[in-house]
Amino acid sequence: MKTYVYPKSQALFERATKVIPGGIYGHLGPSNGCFIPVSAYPFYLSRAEGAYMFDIDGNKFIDYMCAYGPNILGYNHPEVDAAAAAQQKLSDVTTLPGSKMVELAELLVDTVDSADWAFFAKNGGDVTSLAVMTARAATGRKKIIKFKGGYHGVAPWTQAYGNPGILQEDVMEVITIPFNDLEALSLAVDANPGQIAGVIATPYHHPALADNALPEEGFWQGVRDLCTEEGIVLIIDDVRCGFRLSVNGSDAYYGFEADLICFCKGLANGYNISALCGKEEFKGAVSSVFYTGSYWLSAVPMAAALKTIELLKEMDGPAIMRRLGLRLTKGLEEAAQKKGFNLRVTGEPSMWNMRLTDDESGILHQKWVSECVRRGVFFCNHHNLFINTAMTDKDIDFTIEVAEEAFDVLKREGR
Amino acid sequence: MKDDLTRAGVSLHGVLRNMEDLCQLDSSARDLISSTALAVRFDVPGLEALTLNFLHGQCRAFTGSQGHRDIHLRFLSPTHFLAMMEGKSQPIPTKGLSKIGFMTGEFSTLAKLLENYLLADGASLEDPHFRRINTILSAYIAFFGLSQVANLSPVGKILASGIEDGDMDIDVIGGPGIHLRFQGGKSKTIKGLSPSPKARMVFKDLKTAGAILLGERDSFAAIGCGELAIWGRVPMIDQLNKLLGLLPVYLS
Repeated sequence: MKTYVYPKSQALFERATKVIPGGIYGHLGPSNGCFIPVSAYPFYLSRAEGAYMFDIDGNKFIDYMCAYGPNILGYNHPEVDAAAAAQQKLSDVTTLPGSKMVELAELLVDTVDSADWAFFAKNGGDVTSLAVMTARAATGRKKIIKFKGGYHGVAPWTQAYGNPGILQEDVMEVITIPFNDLEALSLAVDANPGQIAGVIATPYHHPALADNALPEEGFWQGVRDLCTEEGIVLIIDDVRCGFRLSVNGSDAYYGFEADLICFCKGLANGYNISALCGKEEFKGAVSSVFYTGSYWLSAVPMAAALKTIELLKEMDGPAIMRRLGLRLTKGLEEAAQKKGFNLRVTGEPSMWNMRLTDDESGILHQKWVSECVRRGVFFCNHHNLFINTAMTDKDIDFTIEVAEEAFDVLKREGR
Repeated sequence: MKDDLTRAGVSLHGVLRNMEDLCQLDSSARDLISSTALAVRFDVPGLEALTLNFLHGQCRAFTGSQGHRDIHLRFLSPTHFLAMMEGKSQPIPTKGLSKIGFMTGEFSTLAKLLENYLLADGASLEDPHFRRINTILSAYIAFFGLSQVANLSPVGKILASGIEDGDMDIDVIGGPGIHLRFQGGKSKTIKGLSPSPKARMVFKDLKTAGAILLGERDSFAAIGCGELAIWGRVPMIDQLNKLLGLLPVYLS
C-alpha cells in the first residue's frame, strides 16, 4: 500500500510558526495532538467530505477523529448545510436574536430528558463554566467536585495548578476524586459539609492518554442520590458524548437524570454552538448569572442544530454509530490478535479508545497508529476516536486492512 | 516566583557541577588541574552536598555527604551560597584550610572560564568550537537544573508529584544524552540514556537543544518542525515540558 508524505503541510507549518504561536496551537496541533512521529501526519486540509478529509498534499483519509467530535453526520452534510445556508440568507449575527433560537430550545426540551430549558453559547467550555457558575448561584456554595482525568474545557478552574498561567486560587475550590469511586465522593462531601455546590462529570470516563471506563453498576444512582440528599447540583458534561450515545442525553442513556447537562460537539454537525440544558428549578439561577458573548445567539448554527437533531432522530444516528463502532473495534482487535499483538479497546463503541498493551511506554502503539495514518486512516494515539453516520461498512473493511498492514510493519521492524 | 533554595540548587547542581564537563571539553581547564588531586565539597543547608573531585586533569562530580573530601566549604543558607556565586560573599571552610589556595587559584580560574562560556557574547559564539562547548555546558545545566526545579521549587514539586515512576531520556543528536529518573515524585538526572525509558525527547542537534532549553525557541513549534521528537508516555513529557518552562526563571 502506498504511504503518504506531506511536503506542503510541512512547508506551511514552518511558515505558520513565524506568525502563529506553536504553528498550530491547541488540540489540532502536532504537539497537543500527539503527532508521533510528526513526519507521519498531515497538518493542513484542503477540504473534507462525509467521512473523509483531504490534505493539502492531496492525500485522502478516513477521519476517525471527526474534528474531535463535531462531525457526527459527515462533513458538509447537504441537508444541514442547506438549512444553514437558508438561514444565512435571512440573518445570522444581528442586534436581536432570530426566531430559530426559540425553535431550537423547544426541540432540545422535547428531545433531552433532563432539559426544561436551554441556554446557548459557542464552545463546550462556555457551558461547563456556566454550569459551575449556575450551581454556585443556585446553592450559595463554593466547592466543585470533579473526577480525575475528566476534561471540562480550558477555563482556569478546569486545569491543574502548575500549568502555565494557572494560579493556586483558580483551583482551590475544586476537589478531584477518582471516577467510579462512590466512597471517595461520599468522603469528599462529608469533609466539606454544606460547601459543595456541584459535582461535574462526563457520563462515562473518557480521559485522554488513559483507558476509558464505563460507569460501574449503581455508580450513577449513588451519585444522584447523594447529590439529591445533600442539595448538590449534578452537572453532566455531555460535550463529547452528547447525541452520539443517545439523542435524549447520555444521562438518560445510563438511566439517571442530571440537574444540568452540557452539549456541544454533536449538536450541529460542526456549526459552532453549545448549549446548557437543565431542570426547571435551575432556570432562575442560570438567568441570574451574567454570561454572554458576541456570537452566542447567531442564527446559522441554530438552524444547523435543528436539522442535525432532526436527522439524528430520524435515522437513529446513535444506533448506526454504535453498530459501526462495534464492527470496527471487533475487527481491529481480531487484526491485532492475528498479527500477534494485544489491542485493548475501552469506552463506548461509537467513540472508543484503544491502545496496544504490548509495551509499557506506548511507543509501539504510537508507531502502529502512525503507520495507519500514513496509509489513509486517521487515528490518534492519545484520545478516544469517533464514528459518524457517514461511515460505511466499506470504510470499516478498508480500515481493518490498513490496520493489518500497519501491524506487519511493526513486525518487520522487530516491534 | 523565584525562591533562593531552588536557585541555589540549580546553581550548585546545575552550574557548579558543570566543572566536570568543562574539564572534559576545554583543554586549558584540563591543563590547569593536570597535577591536582583534591576533592572539594560544597555544603548548603537544604540541598544535597556536591563534591568536585579534581584528579590529574579530570573532574568528577558526586552528590551526597559521604566520601573523601580535602576541602569542605559550608554555607549558612542558600542565600549565602548564591551570594558566593555572585562574588559577594565567602564560604566557611571547615576542612582543608591548608589547601584553600586551590580555591583562590586554580578553582577561581576554572570558575572564570566557565563563566566565559556561559555568559558568552555574540562574537565568541561565532566560533563553532566555542559555541559547541557553550551549548553542551548550557544543556547540562538545564538537564541537571531540571531535577532541582522538580525537587525543590513549590510549583515544580507539584508537577513532579504527578509524574509516574520511570525513566525519561533526553537525547541530543551529536551531543549529550541523559535520563531523568522519577521515583515517588522526585527526580534525579543521570548521564547517559536509560536502558528502558518510558518516554523519550530527542533534539535534532545541539543548536536546537540550546535554543529550546534556554527558552529561546518555542518547543511546540519545534515539535511540529521535526526539531524535537517525542515518544512514549506523553503525560511524562507534558509535565517535563512544564518543568522546562520554569527553568529559565531559576537560571536568570
